[in-house]
Amino acid sequence: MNKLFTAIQKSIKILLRSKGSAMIVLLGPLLIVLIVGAGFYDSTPAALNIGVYSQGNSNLTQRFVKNLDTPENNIIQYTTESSCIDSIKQGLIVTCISFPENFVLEDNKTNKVKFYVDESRVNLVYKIISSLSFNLDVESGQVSQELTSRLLQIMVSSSARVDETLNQLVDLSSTSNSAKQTSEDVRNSVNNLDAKDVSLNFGNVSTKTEDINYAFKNLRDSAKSTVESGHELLNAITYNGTEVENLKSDISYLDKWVHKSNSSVSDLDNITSTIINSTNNIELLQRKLENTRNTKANVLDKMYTLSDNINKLSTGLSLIIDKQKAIQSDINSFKFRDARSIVNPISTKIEPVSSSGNKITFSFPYLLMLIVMFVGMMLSGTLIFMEKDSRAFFRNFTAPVKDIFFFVSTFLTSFFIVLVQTIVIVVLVALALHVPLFSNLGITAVTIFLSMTAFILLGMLLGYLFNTSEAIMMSTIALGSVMIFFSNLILPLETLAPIIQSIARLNPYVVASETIRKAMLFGAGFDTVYTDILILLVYCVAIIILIMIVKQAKAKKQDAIKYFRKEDDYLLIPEEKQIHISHKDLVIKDVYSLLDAFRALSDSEYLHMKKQDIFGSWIEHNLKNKKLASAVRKGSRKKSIDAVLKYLNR
Amino acid sequence: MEYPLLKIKNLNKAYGRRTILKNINLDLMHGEILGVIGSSGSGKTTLLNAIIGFVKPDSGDILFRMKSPLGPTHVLYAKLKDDAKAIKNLYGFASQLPSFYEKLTVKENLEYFGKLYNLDDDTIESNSETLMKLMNLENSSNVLGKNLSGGMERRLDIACAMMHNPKILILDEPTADLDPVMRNNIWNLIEKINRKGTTVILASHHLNELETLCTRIAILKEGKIIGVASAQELKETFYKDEAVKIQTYPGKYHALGEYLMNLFPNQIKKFSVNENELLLACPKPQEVLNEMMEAIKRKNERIIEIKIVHPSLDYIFMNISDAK
Repeated sequence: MNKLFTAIQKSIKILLRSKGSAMIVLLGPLLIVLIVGAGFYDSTPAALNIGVYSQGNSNLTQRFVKNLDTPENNIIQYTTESSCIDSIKQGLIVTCISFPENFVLEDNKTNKVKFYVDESRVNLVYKIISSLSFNLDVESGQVSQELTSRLLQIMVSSSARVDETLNQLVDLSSTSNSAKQTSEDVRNSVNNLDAKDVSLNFGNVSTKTEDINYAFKNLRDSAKSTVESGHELLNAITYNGTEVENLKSDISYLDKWVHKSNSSVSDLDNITSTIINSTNNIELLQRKLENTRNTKANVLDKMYTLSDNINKLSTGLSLIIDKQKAIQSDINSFKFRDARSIVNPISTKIEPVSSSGNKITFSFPYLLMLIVMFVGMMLSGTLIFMEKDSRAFFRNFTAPVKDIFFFVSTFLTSFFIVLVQTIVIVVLVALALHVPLFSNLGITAVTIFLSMTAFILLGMLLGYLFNTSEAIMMSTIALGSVMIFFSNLILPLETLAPIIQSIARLNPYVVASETIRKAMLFGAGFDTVYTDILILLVYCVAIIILIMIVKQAKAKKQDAIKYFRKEDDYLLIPEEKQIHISHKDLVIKDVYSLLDAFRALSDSEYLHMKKQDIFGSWIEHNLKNKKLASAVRKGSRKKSIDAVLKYLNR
Repeated sequence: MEYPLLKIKNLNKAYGRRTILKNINLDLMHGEILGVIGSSGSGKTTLLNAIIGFVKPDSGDILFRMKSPLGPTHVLYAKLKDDAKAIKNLYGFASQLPSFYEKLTVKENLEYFGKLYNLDDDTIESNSETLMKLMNLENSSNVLGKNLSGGMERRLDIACAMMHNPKILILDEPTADLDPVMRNNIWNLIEKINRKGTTVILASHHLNELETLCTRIAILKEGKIIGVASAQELKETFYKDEAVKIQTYPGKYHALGEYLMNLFPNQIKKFSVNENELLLACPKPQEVLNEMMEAIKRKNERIIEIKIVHPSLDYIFMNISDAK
């Protein structure tokens, strides 16, 4: 343990004494936090320069522009659309809004307001469009509201008129119904008129009456003659008996009848005359009746037509009433009478699910993980490289310690430094910027601990994987950048393709930052974040296994490299390419003789030859090692010897 | 019977088709300073790297004598892979390129490496004090590694290697790139360390200096050890002839050497240019010395010094290296 502590202490000392590394690795994150904190802590964002171009300065345009002119926006008017667009390209404005010519509200006219944006500024474009669209939507909503108000007024007055009309129609319908009834009654009455065709032959009546009259007269005459005959008979009969008496009575009766019949004949004549008159009257009446019947038929026909028309009228009225009622019902069923309710039937309000805080609170999990990730990876990668590249590598190798000791000491050194930095940052941010980091300390601490472990191990993996500091730094930056890009820091993960999205969700940076966010902002418990914690644990284990594999592979590869390089070392350069330093009796024919030559030459001799680039050029062309050539070109004799020795001991 | 501290048995190492170490057999005895010499690329560094386990041999064994649980009389050898921790505690290593943290001070480096060897605080304190004094670094204890001079870097590196009191100190070119004064300091230091009981194995190309320092010297040629013995034994074994050492002005030794070789092909076997002097391998120098001096003058070289010498280790090594 004591040994481990000494190793950590040694690494920290070395790190601190490398001023560049100390500045970047130790102070860098604190500076980042300071700058980002200052940048995000103020909730008032800087005003965005918005370019506006309008072909005609209509009232509507002015209204829209006025609505955009908020403290968040700085409106710049342009006289041409192209100059407005050019300003975006030059970065002077973030967007150009082009209003159409004759920007007025007319039927069947679509007014298009164009937004020109620089899509390369991906993150800003969405913000601008959503922000400005909102402003314009507000104004557009206002215009819609006005139009709707007018529409509603028309609708309400129409409804009132429909109401009135409906009552009138109902009255009319009622009148129509009664007319229909009257018509029915009239028709029935007419129908009930007895004007049947009675075929009376009054011509016969006159004839018969005359025949009767004649027969009666004949009868009377016969009776009279009979009576006269009776009287003569009686006068001739001198007999007196009953029979004569009866006969006398009969003849007397007949005589009376005949006497009466004279008057009857007169009456009969009168009657006949009357009958004839009556017959004529009847015939006249019959003709009139005939006319009446014809008229009745006509009346009935017309009554039928009338009744039919009244029926149609009534049906039509009913339909109109039904439709009017339907219209009224529809109008009544439309409950909205306030234009605002129609234009914005659903009002939205964004309610934060987390407790309110400044922007740093929301972005801090990402920022913290960013620092942990980069510092962890860079620091551990740097430490691994420092150990590998250190002159003490050989001595460490000969020391009676296992390889795992250096692995653990590097890990613990990195962990300690990142931990100290994290604590400093967390405390500073919690106290100065009021970020609620301690609200769910358990989960937050576990996540930070695991993410630190994962990123440090990842950096160590890169350190073991690559042989130059440049490669380690580049791979760290590249890997870190990929992790940042495929996270919620730049663009929401939801904007990615589904398959990439699901992979990106396993990105350790995403897992760690999201877990801290959930813990810090929503107080997520272990039951909520245990999957994330498990993923981070799996990452740690997986990276350790990878490191073991890489170390094994590297050890083998190292042997292979030694194998090939050693072959190169022993490779004799053809005689014509060998350097002869005759006054020292030296021949440079391989890397060993080169080393001997450097050792044998005096500093001034070496400098003289170096100026002619004899060694650098020979190394570059024959040993094909630009790095060594460069070191020899730059260095003194002693440095060149060191460089060759380093080359031989690699 | 004394048992070696380190036994290298049938060690082979090849990189691809190029064999670096061929069937190396070598024992390191307690308390000695074993020098390993060889030309560039002869496999010196690979051999030392194989000893510390940095290079895995293709075959063969490197055995370290361990403390036996059965007692001091019992001898136990172990391979590095069998008991890495204990064996790593046995040796200290200083490579050609000083190995310490440049951004730690001298004291911090010593303390850190002391901790790596599980030394307690008191031991670390006393060892670092002793070593800083021994390495003459006590005034630089708070100086960062990167600000040390070349000699100080080397001393700190050796101090780091010595921090845990290893039984074996392995040094790869400990005086490379140092000026003669600093080199001398380092040799003196190694001698001091050895006198304190630490066995040393070192590779160097400063052969003359090894000659006086090392108990035994192993000569490595093309991956093979062609001889292991004391400097004197090596001289006797490999070369008994004398040589002529010449210093001239302006000292165009290469041209002069070739000229003399052409002039006396039967007398001069070969020549070498070594640190501002020309060395001629010449079995019977007295026979040609006068003629040689005349020839040098004819070549417009002014003789500063000319003397007949017994072959140094350099000379022997040069001969061995060039021998087919």
